[in-house]
Amino acid sequence: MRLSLDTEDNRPIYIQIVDEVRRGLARGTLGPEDPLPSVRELAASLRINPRTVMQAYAALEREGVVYVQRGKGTYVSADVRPDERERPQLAREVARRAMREARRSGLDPGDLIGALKELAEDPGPDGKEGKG
Amino acid sequence: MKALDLHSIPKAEAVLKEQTRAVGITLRPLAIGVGILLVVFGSYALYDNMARPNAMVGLPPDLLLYLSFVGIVLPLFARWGSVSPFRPELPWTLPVDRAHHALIRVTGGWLWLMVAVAVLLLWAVGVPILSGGDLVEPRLFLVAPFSDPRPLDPTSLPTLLWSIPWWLWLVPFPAATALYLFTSALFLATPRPGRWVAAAMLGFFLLILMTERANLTWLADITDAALVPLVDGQYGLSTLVTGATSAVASVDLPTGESMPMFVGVPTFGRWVVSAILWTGIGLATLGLAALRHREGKTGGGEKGERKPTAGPLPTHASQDPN
Amino acid sequence: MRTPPLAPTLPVDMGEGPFALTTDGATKRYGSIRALDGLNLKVPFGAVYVLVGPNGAGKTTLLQVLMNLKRANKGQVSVLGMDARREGPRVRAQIGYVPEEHRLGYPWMKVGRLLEHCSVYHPTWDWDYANQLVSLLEIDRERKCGHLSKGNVRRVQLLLALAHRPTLLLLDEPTDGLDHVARDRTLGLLAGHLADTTTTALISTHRVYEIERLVDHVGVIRDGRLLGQVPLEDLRRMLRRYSADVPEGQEPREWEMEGMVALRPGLGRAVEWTVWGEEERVVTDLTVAGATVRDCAPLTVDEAATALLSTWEAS
Repeated sequence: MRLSLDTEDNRPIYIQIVDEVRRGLARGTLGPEDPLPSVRELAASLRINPRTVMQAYAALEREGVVYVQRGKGTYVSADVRPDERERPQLAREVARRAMREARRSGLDPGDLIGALKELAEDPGPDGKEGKG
Repeated sequence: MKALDLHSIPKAEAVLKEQTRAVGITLRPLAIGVGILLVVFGSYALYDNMARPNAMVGLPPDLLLYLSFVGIVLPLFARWGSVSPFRPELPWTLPVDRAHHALIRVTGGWLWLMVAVAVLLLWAVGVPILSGGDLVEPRLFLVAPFSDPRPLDPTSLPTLLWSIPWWLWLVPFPAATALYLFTSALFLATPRPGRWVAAAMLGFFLLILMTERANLTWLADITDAALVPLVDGQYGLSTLVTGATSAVASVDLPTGESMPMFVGVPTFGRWVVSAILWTGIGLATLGLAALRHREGKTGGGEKGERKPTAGPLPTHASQDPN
Repeated sequence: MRTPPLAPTLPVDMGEGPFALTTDGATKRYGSIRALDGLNLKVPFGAVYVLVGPNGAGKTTLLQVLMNLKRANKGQVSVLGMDARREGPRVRAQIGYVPEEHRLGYPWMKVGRLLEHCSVYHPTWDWDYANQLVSLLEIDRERKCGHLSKGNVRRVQLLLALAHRPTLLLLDEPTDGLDHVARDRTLGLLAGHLADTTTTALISTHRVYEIERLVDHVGVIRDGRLLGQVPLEDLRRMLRRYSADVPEGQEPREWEMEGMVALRPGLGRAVEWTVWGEEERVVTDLTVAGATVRDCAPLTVDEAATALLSTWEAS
C-alpha cells in the first residue's frame, strides 16, 4: 500500500495518515485483514517521524479499524464496515474542511449546502476531475 | 525509562594500530618518491663505484646529521599541521581523548620514523660497501680535554686509535627520535608552528646581527654561554646527533703533517647519557604540549580518564541493571 | 505602516525530563564575543529537536560544546547524564555527528579507507548498514576524500554519523550541499534510523521545511541564547495565524495584542495576525474588539521560525 501526504494540508500528520487509511477503506482499495506498512517502512517512505506513524496506528487501533499482531505487524480488522463508519466519517471530514474554507471566504453553511446540491445535480467541468 | 545501553569507546591498542596505518597512508607518497630516488641513485652509485673499488665507507658526522633530520621532515609530510587538534577536524570528533589521540598518532609516526632511519642508514652504508668499498680502518686521533678545546701544544696530547664503535650505528635512532619529538611537540603546542619557527629564526638572526655589527661583546658572551654547551657541550646536541664524532678539528703538527683531534673522547657512556637526556626532554616537551588538548581538565585527570579504555564503562554499569 | 509588534515571550522550560541533552547556563566566549550566553538547552529522550536561528546565533558552537570539541567557559553540559566536559570520549562514542564544515580530515585517504578508519573507533560499527548507506547515498569508495565535492563530502559525513548506529544524532545542516535526490534519501534514512534505533536528535538547519515532518521539538536560538523551546504540538497549538475582518475605519496598529508576532493587513478590512496564545483567548480578544474571525490555522515550523525570528529582529 502506498500512502501519500498532502503538503498543503496543515492538519497534524498522524490525522492525515488515519484519514488516508479511512479513505482506502471507503474506496475499497483496503480490505479486511490487509496488512498496513510497517512503522519503519511508512516513516522512511514518507520521511516522517516514526512516532507519528505509531500515533496514527494507535488511533486506528483504538477505533477498532486495525489490530496489531505482536511481532508481525498491523492489519485491518476483519469486521470493518466502511459503509457504516468510514464513509460517514470521511464525509464529515471533507465537509469540515469545506466549511472552514467557506468561513474563510465569508460564506455561511447555507451557501455551501446550496452550492453542493447544485453541483451534485450538474457537476460541470470541475466535477469531472474527481479525486486523484 | 529504558536502561541506557551505551556504546563503548575503542581500545587504545586498536587506535594505535589504526593510527599507525593512517600515518603510513599519509607518508606513502613521500615514501614512494624517496624510494625511487634511493633506487635510482643507488643503482648509479653501484654502477659508478664498481669501476673504482676500495672506497672507504664510514659513518661521517654529516651523514648522521642528515639522518637525524628525518625526524624533522617526517611530521611535515605526515601532515601534523593540516590535521591539527586546534581545529574541529574529523579525527578529533572520534571517541578518543584528544591529548591521548594526538600522542597515539605521534607514536604511530615514530614507528615509521624508525623504519625510515633504518632504511636510509642501510642504504647510505650498504650501497658503497656493495659496490666494493670497505669500512674505514682505525685511525689515530689526538684527544683534547673539554676544559681546553684549543691546546697550544698539540704534541702533548694523548692519542687514541679509533675505529667505528658498534654503538655509533645506533646514534641516528635516538637523534631522529628527539628531533621528531620536538617537532611534533611544536605542532601540538601551537596552531601556527610556522610562525613560531620563523619568529625564532628571525630573532636569532637579529641577535647575531646585533652582536656582530654593534660589537656587543657582552651579548655575544651570553649567547655563547647559553648556546655552546647546548650544542657542543659534553651531552650537547652534537653528542646526540653524531655521537660526539663531529667535534673533530684538524691540527697541524710541528712536523708539517696534520692530524685529527677529538675534543673529548666519543664514548658510549657519553652518547647514552645525551640520548636519554634529549629523548627525555623531547618526551616532556611533547607531554606538555599535549596537555593543551587534554579533555576533562576540570577533574579526574589522566589516570581517571584512562580507566574507561580498559573496562566497559564502570561508572554507568552501576546505574545500569545490565 | 507596520509598527513593531510586541515580541512574545516563549517558554523555555521543558519540565522534568528525562533529558538526553542539557546545557545549564552554557557560556562560550571567543574574545569579547559570546557565542553562547548562558544557554539552557533541554532535549528530552527520543526527541527530534530542531534548532533554528539566524547566522551566528551559536547553533554550531552549541553542537561543538555538546561534542566537547569546544569547551564551554561556564555552565554544565550534560549528554545522557555524562558531563561532556569531563567525559568527552565516552560522550562522542554515543553520538553521530555531522559537522557544519564540509571537510573529512584526511584529504589523501580514499573514502573506502576512511570508512575502515572510522569503523575502528566505533566498536558498534555496522558494516551491513554502512554498505547499504554507501549504495543509497551513491558514495564512491575509490575517490580521495580531498577530491570530493561539497555534496559528496556531506554524504560521507552522513554515513559516518549513522553507520555506528548511535542513539544520539547531532546534525549541523545535514542536507547542506546535497542535491534533490540525495536530500530526499537522507530524510528517508533519518526516518529509518529513528525507527531502528531509539534515537534523540538535535538538528541545526536553516531549511526547516525539509525536516518539518521529522521534528517534534523546536528551539529558537539567537545571540547565544534560547528564546524559546517547545514541543511541536505546543507550537502548533499556541502559535497560530488568525484571519479576521476588522470594523470599518480602524487602523491595523490599533489591533496589537498580547503575544502578537506579526500583523499583516490584507485586502480592505481583512487582517492576518500571527499570535502566540491560547486560541480561545485570542479569538475572544478579537471578537470583543469587534473583529470577525474567519480562520485560525497553525503555522509550519518553517513559517513559525521565520515569523518569530523577524519579530525578535525588529524588537
